Amino acid sequence: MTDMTDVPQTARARRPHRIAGFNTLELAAGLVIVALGLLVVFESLNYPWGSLRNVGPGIFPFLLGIVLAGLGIAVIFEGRLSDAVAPVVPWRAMLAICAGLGAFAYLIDRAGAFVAIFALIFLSGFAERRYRPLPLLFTALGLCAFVAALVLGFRGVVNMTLLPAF
Amino acid sequence: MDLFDNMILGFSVAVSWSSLLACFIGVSLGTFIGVLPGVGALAGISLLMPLTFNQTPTDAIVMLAGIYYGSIYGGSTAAILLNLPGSVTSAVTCFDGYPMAQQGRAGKALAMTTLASFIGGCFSIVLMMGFAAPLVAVAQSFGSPEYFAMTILGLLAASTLSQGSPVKGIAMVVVGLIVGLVGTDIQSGVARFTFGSRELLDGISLVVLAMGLFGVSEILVNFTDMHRARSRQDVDTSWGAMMPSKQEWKDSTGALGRGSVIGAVIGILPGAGAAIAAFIAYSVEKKLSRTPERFGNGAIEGLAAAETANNSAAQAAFIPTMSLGIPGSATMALLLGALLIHGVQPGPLVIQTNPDLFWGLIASFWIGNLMLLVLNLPMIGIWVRMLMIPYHILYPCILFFICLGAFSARNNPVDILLVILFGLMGYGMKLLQLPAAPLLLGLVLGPMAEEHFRRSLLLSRGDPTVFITQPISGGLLAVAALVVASTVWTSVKRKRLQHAA
Repeated sequence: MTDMTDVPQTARARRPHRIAGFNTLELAAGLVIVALGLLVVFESLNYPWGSLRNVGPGIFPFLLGIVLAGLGIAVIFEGRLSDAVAPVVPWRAMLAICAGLGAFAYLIDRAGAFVAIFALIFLSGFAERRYRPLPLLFTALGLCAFVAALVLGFRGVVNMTLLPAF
Repeated sequence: MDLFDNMILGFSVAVSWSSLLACFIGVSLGTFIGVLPGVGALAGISLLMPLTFNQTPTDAIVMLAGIYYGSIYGGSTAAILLNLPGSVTSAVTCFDGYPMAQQGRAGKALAMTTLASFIGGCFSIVLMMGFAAPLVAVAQSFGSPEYFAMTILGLLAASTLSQGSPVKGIAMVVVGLIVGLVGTDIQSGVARFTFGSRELLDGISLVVLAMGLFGVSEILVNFTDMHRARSRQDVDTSWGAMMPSKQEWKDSTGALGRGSVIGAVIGILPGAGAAIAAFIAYSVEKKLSRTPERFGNGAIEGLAAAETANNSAAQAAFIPTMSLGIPGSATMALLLGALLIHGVQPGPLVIQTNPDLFWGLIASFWIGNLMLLVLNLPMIGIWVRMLMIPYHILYPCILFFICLGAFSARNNPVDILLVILFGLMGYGMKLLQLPAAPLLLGLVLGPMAEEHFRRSLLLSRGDPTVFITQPISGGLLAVAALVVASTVWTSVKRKRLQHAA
């Protein structure tokens, strides 16, 4: 279901970065996994252990944490054979989309769905290099109409305030 | 006849107005999602899942299943017309579909895909009807150690047989299992991995996680790797241009049959899934063909094989999910999760406790496949126009539906913030080439795996060898070990070769 072919053309041409023979990207992935595994192991020590006959809530996470840390080390070593290269991160799009979603979350209860939709659409519009106010306006208006129909037409399915109560 | 009675029960459920409507909405939304490049079935189902919370469990699962197989139907349209697979499952469809479109045979390609999909789907539904009862009989003799072993086998097979590094796949399954532990432990009441947060006591919501991992991060990936629709193919959608000729029919009949069988066999296995089924069916057809050089240049039998196989596999994937409660792919895990949210525990008991749901779902497959056939042939022109929706309008809309879905699940804006968090996490995982689908599988199956683990030890009076000494569970675990060892071995060997070159 997942495809790993998302590496853009420009990145494919670059040579993989290595630290002492370990592919840096895979090293990072492995270290994150090891750290997560160790975190789980230490956290699980706080939970009652129980016995083999009556397993407490601590044992299963403890085992999973150890397995995960081991797999992280395996990922690091497998990375010796990897030519993975970090793709270019679209910081602009990431920032714009997070800002849009964050604004929606902040505004939905305070200012109602209409205001929240406009904030979401116009902020996330910055993800594109070219800002297109007119198509964004029509998109926002269309979505407002859709939400109004959803809230008014199917009461109970979606509970949203459309406009703030004054 | 038992089966006959059951199907009557099924159809009596599936032809009710609400189920018909659910099925119709499901398959049309699914086709729509499949047609749009960059929105997969996983993202689509996670986006639309909150809409089903107010429906009955049967209607909900009928609709979500419809979205799934509808998207596989629809995915081929973008593949044929733009050489862009609308979903991963139709990647193979591009091989011969796009050349056919370039030769001005787009209408025929689209018509053949629709028919091939219908035939493949029908084959697996028949199989599911026949397989359900014996599988359930087997599953009922299972105790906790067997269930634990089978869950482990399912998880390991699903994570190692997909593309990419098998080690990373297994690591992500374990992460998913751990994420599934977050919240209050049912047996002891201890809050685990909540770090003092009250929001996390109920556990991490499947919907929120899936929307972040597959919705938001998908959009970010699309901004990393721009592949947009460029050229527009004109499609002659008149009947004359769409009907395959006699010769084309003759060429395709064998491919249709073989594709159905290959797809069904691969679909039942965990991990392989519709995309791999299509690929294998295509290679088999190419090997059997007396004119293999036509493949890749618009051979209609290649197209037919790929499309029957992916739809047959998509339907067959429901067999282990519904009768054993073990999903083979992330999409099936989502559907299973939806059932759990509705309070239905999938597994062998479902057929006894909720026969209306099980047989209603199967009956809805017939209806849904028929609807797709009727919907798709005359509406190809409309789907072609859908392809022209520019991405700068599409992605704000998807973001809005993410917000709507996340918010309406609990009416809590915090869920939207969690979606952002999981979206960034999903994108980070993409950067590090860690697959997200196994994580979802682990999350859904985690609580069940732990419960069976603890219960097995309780019943065996603390003897941990019970998993190996019981013949069935020992056998399943041995198969699991074999699967992992062989995939890791071949993957390392392949990488060595690549590296040496």
